[in-house]
Amino acid sequence: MMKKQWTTYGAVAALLAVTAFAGCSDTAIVGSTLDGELARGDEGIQLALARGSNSELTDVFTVDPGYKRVLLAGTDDIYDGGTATDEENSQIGNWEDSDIGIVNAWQQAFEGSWAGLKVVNNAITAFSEERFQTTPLVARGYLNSAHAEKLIGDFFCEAAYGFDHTGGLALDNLGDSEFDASPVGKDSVFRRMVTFAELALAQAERAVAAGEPNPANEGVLSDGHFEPERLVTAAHGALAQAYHALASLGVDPGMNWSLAVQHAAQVPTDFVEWTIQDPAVEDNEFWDQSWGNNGADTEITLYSAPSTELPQGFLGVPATFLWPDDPRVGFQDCTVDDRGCHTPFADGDDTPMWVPLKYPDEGSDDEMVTGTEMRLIEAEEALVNRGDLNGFYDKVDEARAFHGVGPTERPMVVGAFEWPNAEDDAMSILDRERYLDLHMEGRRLFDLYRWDHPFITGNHVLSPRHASELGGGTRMSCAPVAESECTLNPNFPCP
Amino acid sequence: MKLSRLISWFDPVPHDRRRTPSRARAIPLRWKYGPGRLGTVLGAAVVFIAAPSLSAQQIGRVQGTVRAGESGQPLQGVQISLQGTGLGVLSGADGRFVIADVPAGSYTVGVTLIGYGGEEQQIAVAAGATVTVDFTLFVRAVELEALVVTGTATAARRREIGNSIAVITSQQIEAINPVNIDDILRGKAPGVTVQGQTGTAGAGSQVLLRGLGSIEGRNRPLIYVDGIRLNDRGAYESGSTATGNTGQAATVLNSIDPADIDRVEIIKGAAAATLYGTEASAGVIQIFTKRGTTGAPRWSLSVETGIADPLQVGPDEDPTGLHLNDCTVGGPLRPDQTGPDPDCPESGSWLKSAFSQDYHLSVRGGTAGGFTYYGSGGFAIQEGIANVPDRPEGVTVGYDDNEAQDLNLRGNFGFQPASGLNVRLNSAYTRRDIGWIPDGDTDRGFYNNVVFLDEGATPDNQDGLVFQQDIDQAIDHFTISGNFDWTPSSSFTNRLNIGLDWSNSRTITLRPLGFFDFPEGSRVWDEEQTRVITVDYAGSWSQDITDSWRSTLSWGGQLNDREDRGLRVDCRGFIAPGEQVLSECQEAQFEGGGIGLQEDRRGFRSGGGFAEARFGWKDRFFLSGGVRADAFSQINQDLDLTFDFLLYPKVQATYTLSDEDFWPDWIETFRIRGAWGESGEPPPQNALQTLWQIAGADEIPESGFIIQSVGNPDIVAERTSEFELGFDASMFDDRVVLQATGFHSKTTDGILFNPLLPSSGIVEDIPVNPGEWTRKGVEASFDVVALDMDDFRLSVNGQYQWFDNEVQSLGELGTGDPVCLDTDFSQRICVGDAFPQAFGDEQAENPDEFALPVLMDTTLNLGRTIPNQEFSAGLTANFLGRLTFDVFGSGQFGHILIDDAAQELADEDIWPQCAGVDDAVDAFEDNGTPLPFTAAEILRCTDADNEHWFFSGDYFRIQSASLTYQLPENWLPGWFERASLQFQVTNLALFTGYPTGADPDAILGGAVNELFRSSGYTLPVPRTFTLRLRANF
Repeated sequence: MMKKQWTTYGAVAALLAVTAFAGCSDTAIVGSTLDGELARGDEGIQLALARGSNSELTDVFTVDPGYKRVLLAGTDDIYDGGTATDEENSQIGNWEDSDIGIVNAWQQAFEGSWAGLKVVNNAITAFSEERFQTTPLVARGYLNSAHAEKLIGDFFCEAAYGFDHTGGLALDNLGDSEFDASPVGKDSVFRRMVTFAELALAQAERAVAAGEPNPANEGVLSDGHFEPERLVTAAHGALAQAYHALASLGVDPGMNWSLAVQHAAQVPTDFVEWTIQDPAVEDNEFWDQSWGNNGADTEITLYSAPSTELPQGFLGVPATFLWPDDPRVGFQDCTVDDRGCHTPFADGDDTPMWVPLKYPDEGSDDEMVTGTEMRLIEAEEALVNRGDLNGFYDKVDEARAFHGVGPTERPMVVGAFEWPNAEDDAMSILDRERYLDLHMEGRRLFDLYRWDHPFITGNHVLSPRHASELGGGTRMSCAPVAESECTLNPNFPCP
Repeated sequence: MKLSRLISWFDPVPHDRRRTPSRARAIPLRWKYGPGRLGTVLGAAVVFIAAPSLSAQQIGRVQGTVRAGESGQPLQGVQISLQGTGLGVLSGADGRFVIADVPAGSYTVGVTLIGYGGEEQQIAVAAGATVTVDFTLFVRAVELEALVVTGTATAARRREIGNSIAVITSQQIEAINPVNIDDILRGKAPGVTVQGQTGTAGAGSQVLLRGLGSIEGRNRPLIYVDGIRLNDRGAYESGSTATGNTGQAATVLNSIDPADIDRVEIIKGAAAATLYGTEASAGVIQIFTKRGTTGAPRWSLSVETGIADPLQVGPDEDPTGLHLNDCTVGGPLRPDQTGPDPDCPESGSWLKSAFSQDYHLSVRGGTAGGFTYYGSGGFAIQEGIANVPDRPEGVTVGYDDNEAQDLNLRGNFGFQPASGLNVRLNSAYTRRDIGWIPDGDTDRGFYNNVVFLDEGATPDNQDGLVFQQDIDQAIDHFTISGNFDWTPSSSFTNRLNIGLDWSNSRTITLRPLGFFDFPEGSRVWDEEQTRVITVDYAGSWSQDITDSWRSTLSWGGQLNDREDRGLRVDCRGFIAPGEQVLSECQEAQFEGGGIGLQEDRRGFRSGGGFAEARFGWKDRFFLSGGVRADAFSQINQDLDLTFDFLLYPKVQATYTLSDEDFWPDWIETFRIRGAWGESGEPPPQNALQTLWQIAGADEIPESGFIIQSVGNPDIVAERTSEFELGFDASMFDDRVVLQATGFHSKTTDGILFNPLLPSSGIVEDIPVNPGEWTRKGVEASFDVVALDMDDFRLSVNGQYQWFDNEVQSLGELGTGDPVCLDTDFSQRICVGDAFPQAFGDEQAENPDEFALPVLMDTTLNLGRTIPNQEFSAGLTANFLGRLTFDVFGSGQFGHILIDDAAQELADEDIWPQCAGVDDAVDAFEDNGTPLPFTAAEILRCTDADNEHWFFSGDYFRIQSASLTYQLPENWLPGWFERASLQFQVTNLALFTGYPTGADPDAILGGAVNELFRSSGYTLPVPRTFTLRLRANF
């Protein structure tokens, strides 16, 4: 009896064992790509990754509520009456580290830099050493990172790099010692930009020398975005921006001014380098908030900013109809011409919707390097570094002429920033021309910072680390470290 | 009126016709009860009646009727068997049964029906004779002989298992009169929480067992129907529904017709669900559908019609009900807006009385050869309470009512192809067509635009324009399963379940050309398909070890193969009005216009094996242990097998003390039980690998990879270890039944998402396993027969549950003292606290003072945001076995809830309860005028942050009251066996202190949102009146 019982139990146990070890569990995912699959030495895959890196860069501008929309509202680069910006803070340049615009801008800017390096990192694995040395894709990756660093440096008071915490996805051959996520200043950010732009330039020049074709042979992005010759020019432009920034910050100004104009000279006036807006990912934020819907609520061109918001107008000019005929800041009054307009009037009131011509559709691209900006860098160098007023005006007029705007008047006065600034001296002209030429591209805040601009109440630069010191109406000249960083990074104790 | 006259009014049938001829019990088999029990047992009339001789000389037949002792009504689906013969049938709708071809001899006839006490009688069958034997069964919540199968390797009697298991029977379901399964589960079993009701037709609720057991996990129980796993989507949610455009979602669970359900078994925690392994820590609900019975076809018909009346929306201060109830006047929301809403419907209200209809017809029967069948068809229409304006002249799309139409078809068949082999084939098809209205917290939503008046998104406050949108969802759900029970001997059993569950949800959202918020128009076609294949085998071998000890060894394994497919077509921009289908979509209109496509597919396969050994002593003490081995989800596109098994052990014991001689007679049944076991919760899909996705796929030359999610190759499944201890007792002639269970569980390897430093370049969070948390609680129920007279029976019942969870560790995550992890919506997870909790860092020190707020300098936990207590109670009164009054209420307690609609209205200075606050503050500051508002009210209205808009969400609702009249047989046509008429009112009363006037159980995205619940932007639960006719023929 017992023997039979144990025989039965044995058989059952054997069955159990078979059953148990037949167990399995797997998941298949289609529609997504595994990280490891991107390491294949396939030109098409690496090209797609480089394109994706570009999309990550555009995210800086577009992830709601949008980098530009919040930060530029605070510089009066735009006037934004929408709900996404806090009327009592953002519009007077008093940001909190928890503002969603600050948080998103911070996160997306660093992701933009990381994504560019990911292109390079993947190419190291995917390509042979010889192929890696000449592919334009690597130049594009470096250049995207350089652009992202520019955005970080322009807007944030300080930065940090924790790229060694990315699960092994970081570029590990840079020899960069700043990956410990400790605070670094703006100058360090622009030095990183110099590094990436120089790497991009060297890579692009090798690609040109090797006769590399444009790896993208059709579509919008192929319009020079991966073309080696254009990458060389764009890298020069990025280097000019970076050295210009370092010189402005007082870092070895003699050398950096010299390098800035040296690289700027390599960029023709009609050159434009974009970060391509991909409408399948995000709409251009300005288009979306003005043409696309009534989220911006009212005009974002400063033409009729209410006097309560801009009591002095801008640069001393009355706040209505500042530059009605300047094509650089053109607008369409939807109450007069509603073609393409979402609505003639903003919701709930009779505020006319005036929409910017600079971003006429949802796929409008964002300019990262322009030849006209290069001319203004040269003009600034002539004025600030060499005191050459004629040289200054020549370069300014060269940029204006490209836009079809006549020459400036030439009072031979360098001038100094005063507020309100009633005189049209050279510094005021430089200030105004940069504003108009770079309108809504996100450069304005850095100009306020580096010039310690009198537009900033109190006439001094404030760090948001000292936010509690801010008085009413005081504007910040740089954006705080995002709350998402300071809650996690012990190097940045939240205020 | 004297009782006798009242009785005669209700019951025109002569009194002497109501009773069975004899109430004497022929042969008491297990006499152990006292005199009271005798009286009850005598009620179970047993009669031997000689029947006319039939043709066969060596065989006879057994027939009879089974009735419910409480109501005298026939009981359907009772299993009648001649013990030791394999002969048996189920009773029909009239309670009758016939067992044919019974060899002459003596037999023990046993009857069992889950939820009722079993009975046995001995009979002698003479050749050619018919023996009639009738039974009367009484509900016994503590029915230890009832077979259950959920959580056990093979079918087991309740007395043999150590964990608590809730069973809801078809009779209970019939008494509930459910619209859907949510109604069946709500308040009917302790430990089961159903949250989220609304006035939106088609919306489902969320079911939680023992509250929240996981922070990032699904917290959804596994759902089985006839042994086959349903897809675990929970809700048919897409970008087009729930959190997207409708504010609500349909659920998978509600695709099952409640009229087809025979019983529901619920096991609630890890200790009971061990044999289901890694995916089972949130519990298991198993639904069994009705089966055929031997005999002639018996038909059941149910016809009902109802009306749902909307109740007041918003606070008492606003007689317009936030303008939803009355849109003919302006103010007090906006004193400056005195005119009516320009689109206000003719009735003057944005809400209306909504109608519903439900028809269900079923037939069951079978042949003497063992073939049985059950077939049913049902059709239901339910309208929502939103008053959609008539479609304007010349407009061809949009302006459709909120309406849900359900078509259900089922065919269940059983046969015995060989001795000892029973086969059941079950099939069901459900089609749900839901016409949603645009709703929820969206600028394009109905509620949002009405309550925001001219601050809404619609131009010139023309809120009817939101109904330009047309959102239609069609859900097809098909399930087929085969249950194979092979019992070669009484000791050796085998059960194999094989089945397919397939569902397809298609949601089409049309915004026509000229739509107010997107004039170019758009059409989104969103299709989601899920297929689950289940193979489930279990075998058992039972053997007497000694005279007192018996062992049962069980083993088995499961394989589940699931595939999800999704296809989304997004058209932006039509070239012309008219059909406005995808083919009319053109890119030429504007950049970004055209068609976007998105396809995704997920495959998931899991399996495992288990073994369980159970030892029983004298059929009163049972000790069992088992182990489950399986692997959790691996992500691998090549579907490579993995052998990384996880083991989940279990140990259970139960002792029926009332079987002992020393036990006092007045406690008829008393059993203690205890169980310990483990189960798991798998990581979220995509958790292991870093994934990239294509961006810009609609412009192929420009498409590129962007990062989608960052994986953690070291992630493991959450593991929950649970211990539960409880008892089941019945006393005083089974008039009082008590059950209680306490449990304590601990979850380790708790999954949380680690937000990386943004400066690392990665915005996405990485899943990690640092969490540890505990959960404890108590579940109890009572069932008392308060009065049991010849013509009147009154019973009351109640359920109570309480649970508390506490975070023990967040590992390296979290900051501060206490260590907390901020989540969203003013909520966070803190070590030492329950989760999730809302917190505030700008609370007033003097909230109740009529003074300006003085802000605290600390962060406060405001309270848990899901209920941790639930109480339900019911009362049933039966007169003369014909008239039944049933009332049932339930409530949830112990939580706070945000009304973010109120908060956002306050932020816009148009919340009625904030009227006058600013002026009062100014007057106080300028002139010292005493403040008529408290500091908390002032802070709430002037700061209007989320944290100030959490209130206690406690409520108790009279969910249902019904009056059922069993029509006298002599009123019915001859071919009718029985019929009843019922009038039911739901949502009879709501008791709550929730101050914004919102219904605290009307949750935005109620079927979807677990942690982040809000009462805002949700239509309230209406009061319904339903008239229902049921007939059997």
